[in-house]
Amino acid sequence: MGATTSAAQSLHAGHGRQPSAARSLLLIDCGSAYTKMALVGLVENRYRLLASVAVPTTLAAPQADIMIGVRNAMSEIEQITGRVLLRAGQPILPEDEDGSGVDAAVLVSSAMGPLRLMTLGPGRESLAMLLQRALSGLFIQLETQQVPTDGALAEGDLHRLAAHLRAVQPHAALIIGAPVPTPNNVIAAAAQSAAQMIDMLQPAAMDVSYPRPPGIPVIFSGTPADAQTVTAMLQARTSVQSVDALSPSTLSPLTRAVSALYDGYALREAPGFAALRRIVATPPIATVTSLGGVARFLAHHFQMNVVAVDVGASSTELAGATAGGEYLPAVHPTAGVGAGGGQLARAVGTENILRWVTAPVDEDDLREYILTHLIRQRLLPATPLALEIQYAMAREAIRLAMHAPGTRVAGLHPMDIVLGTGGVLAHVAHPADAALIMLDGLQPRGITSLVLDSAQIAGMLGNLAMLSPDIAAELSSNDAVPLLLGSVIAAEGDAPEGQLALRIVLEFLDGRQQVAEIANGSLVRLPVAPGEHALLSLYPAPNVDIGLGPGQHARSSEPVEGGVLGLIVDARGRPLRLAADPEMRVEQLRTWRKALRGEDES
Amino acid sequence: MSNVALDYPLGRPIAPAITVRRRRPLPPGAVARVQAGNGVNALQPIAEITTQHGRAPVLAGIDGRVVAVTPGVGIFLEGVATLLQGMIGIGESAAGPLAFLPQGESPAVALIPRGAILVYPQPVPLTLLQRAAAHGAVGVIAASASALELESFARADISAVLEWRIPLPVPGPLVVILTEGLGNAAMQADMLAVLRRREGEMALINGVSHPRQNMRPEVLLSGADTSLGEYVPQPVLLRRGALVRVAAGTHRGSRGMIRHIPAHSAIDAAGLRTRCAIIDLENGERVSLPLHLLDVVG
Repeated sequence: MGATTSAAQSLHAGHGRQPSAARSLLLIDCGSAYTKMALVGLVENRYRLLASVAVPTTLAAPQADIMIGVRNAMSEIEQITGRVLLRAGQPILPEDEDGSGVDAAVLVSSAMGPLRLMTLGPGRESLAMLLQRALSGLFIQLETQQVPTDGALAEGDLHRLAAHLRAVQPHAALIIGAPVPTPNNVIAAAAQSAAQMIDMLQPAAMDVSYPRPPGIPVIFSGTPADAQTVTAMLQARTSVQSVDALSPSTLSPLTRAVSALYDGYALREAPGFAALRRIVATPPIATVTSLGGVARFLAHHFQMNVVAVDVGASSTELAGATAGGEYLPAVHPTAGVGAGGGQLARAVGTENILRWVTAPVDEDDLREYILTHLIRQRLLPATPLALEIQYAMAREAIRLAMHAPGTRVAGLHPMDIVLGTGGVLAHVAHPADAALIMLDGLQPRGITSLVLDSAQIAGMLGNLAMLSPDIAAELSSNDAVPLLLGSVIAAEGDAPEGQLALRIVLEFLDGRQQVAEIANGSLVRLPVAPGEHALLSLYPAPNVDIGLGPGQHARSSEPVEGGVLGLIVDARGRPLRLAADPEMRVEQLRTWRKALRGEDES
Repeated sequence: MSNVALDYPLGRPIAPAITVRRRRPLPPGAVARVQAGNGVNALQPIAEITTQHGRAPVLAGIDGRVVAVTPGVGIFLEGVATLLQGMIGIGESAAGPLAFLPQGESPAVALIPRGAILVYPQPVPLTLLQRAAAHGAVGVIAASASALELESFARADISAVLEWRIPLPVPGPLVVILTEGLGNAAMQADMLAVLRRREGEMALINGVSHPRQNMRPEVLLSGADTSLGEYVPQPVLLRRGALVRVAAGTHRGSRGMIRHIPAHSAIDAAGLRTRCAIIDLENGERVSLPLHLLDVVG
């Protein structure tokens, strides 16, 4: 327990590595709605965050150029810091002798949405589990389409098929072959389907003499013999990259091949991307890929299990990493609280979103919220009710990503550190809101440190690590997790509601002692202020588990530091149960919110 | 200042004079009646299609000239028009005369002219959409609608359509354009005034919406609307003196002028810390509102 509860303290401690050559860096995260930017520089020979801003991403008319948003963000940083970053509208790279500009810039992005992959081939269903393992954690959206293999579809069906393909607009096709040689006609039929799909996706030109653009790229995973067949049939239309047939030991070639397409095909669609690409020092990567790097670093560095959570407007990303080096990503590339709200509602059902809302809201209100945020993509909640709906959606988005097919982060126990980042969590109205969203969404067991990346830079550090691991590590320790919300003790058991679940003895370093008795079903904040330290002794009821087994007592080996929410005791049980009766459910939610916001104390 | 009104492709909802190039789609079996280079007027049939009632003309919808005729794709027209942009729509291209319901008459019983584009400057009830479709109107331009009622009418999850997760519905008999979006907002006064002035004239409308591309539904009216003054080209910045309209929240639909944009963020009505502007509303109230809620309208 001591190691767990000291996690947040350790995060603040830093580890004194010597800075490398770069004097200053610009971290850029182009999201679908907002572009976040952070300026990093040397302060007393240590890399520190100097300023961070968020401005609207500019991808569509009247400002269809992603660089406009990037320049706007740089201008805002100039205003905040007084440091000159632009000259004649162009970024100054590298840093000048007079201190203007920065030495390097790195980019992560989810702006253009996930890489859309159309999958087909005889192995698509039979190797589905391996396919999910190979692709989990990548920012991709798998599409399936029953493309005719014999050309026997009626004209109407072909129109519908073409309309669907044009609606989805896949960036690439993935043909999954069988792991062993198959009769030639099987793989040939799959290649024929891909050819038909590529033809259907060709734009209808006004002028027939206009040169025909190359078709979408194809990745083939299968045997060398099948690869030859596919290449021979498709080479006139597009490029084909062949990788090993899928097996438990050959997942990474497919992972790498698909990952490489993100920069080249998904991001390049962004207007102005070529200019942005020229100013960054490393290949851009998807935000979730970068966030995964940070989670892995923190897990390795502190030898703890870490889950990083980013709920975005269009997508939701969890990056789990274990002390043992295992990476457990969970991504829903198209479900979020803004433009991804429609997908979220379709996936979880409107009733599951509305159950988290205390105000009287009907389905029409929710549909209006979802559609309005879909058509006005930079709109933030405008009323307390809209904010409550957004938080409800955030809880469900986390739960959806956590239980996405092929992901294993739901089974990660304990979650020693939960790191919240991204616009929704970083910009909450009250820190308690972020804590509740993460607790309700993830439902961690045992003891967890909740930390909030209010500067929103955690998602950028993974790519920075490609440029300079030392700087990324230093920032991870110093600035990416600056706000310790509090340590959470989650107690679960089948004691009746209201009965004693847990007795806690707090021994403060100044000699004070406090005893708290926690009732089953309650959520409680104990007053351990930021900077204050106390030793914990935990005495759960015989049928209550705090992560060590039912009834097992525990005493911290080192003092726990308080957070902005003190020490949180979550005795609501796992899985969390909301009352079936609507009035009781609303009362439950209000009680929990008041408890964490500390409204009873004021 | 980095905060720019982004919700309209032209920076604002009305462009009084703009050169546009638009496609009038041709369904399978349609026969074009014009060639590239021909001049056309809005009322002119440019193609014929086969319907269950026999042959029917496809009208140009706007004055201009034919740029290209591509069989199976459409006829491309170019002309100068007044362009009104809505927030959300369904259906593709349609042309017809603008018509208003008689003042004071219930939408449940009012006569709906066949082939017309009905203008309804209030939240449109499902009944009116259904009656408009049943009585042969080709379009409805309304201020707003209930989300569930719009989805009931479209028989589709509109969010999936807007994300282009599912194909656009097969062009139905009725194109719907909501100028203010979902909910119960009334139509902005400027837009209503333009539509009133053009009552009875041909309009070319398109309900296709793609928020990610900022593709908005639109109403095209032939020629420039000189009463709106000179068109100020984009970019349209949220800055002191800009005339803005509030897009959401308790002040939704209110108009006013930006008096000041403080350098520091403030807590807004939702409880979030955001950049805000101090605005003098037209009703005399002075309010602080988040920049993300503001559309520049002049």
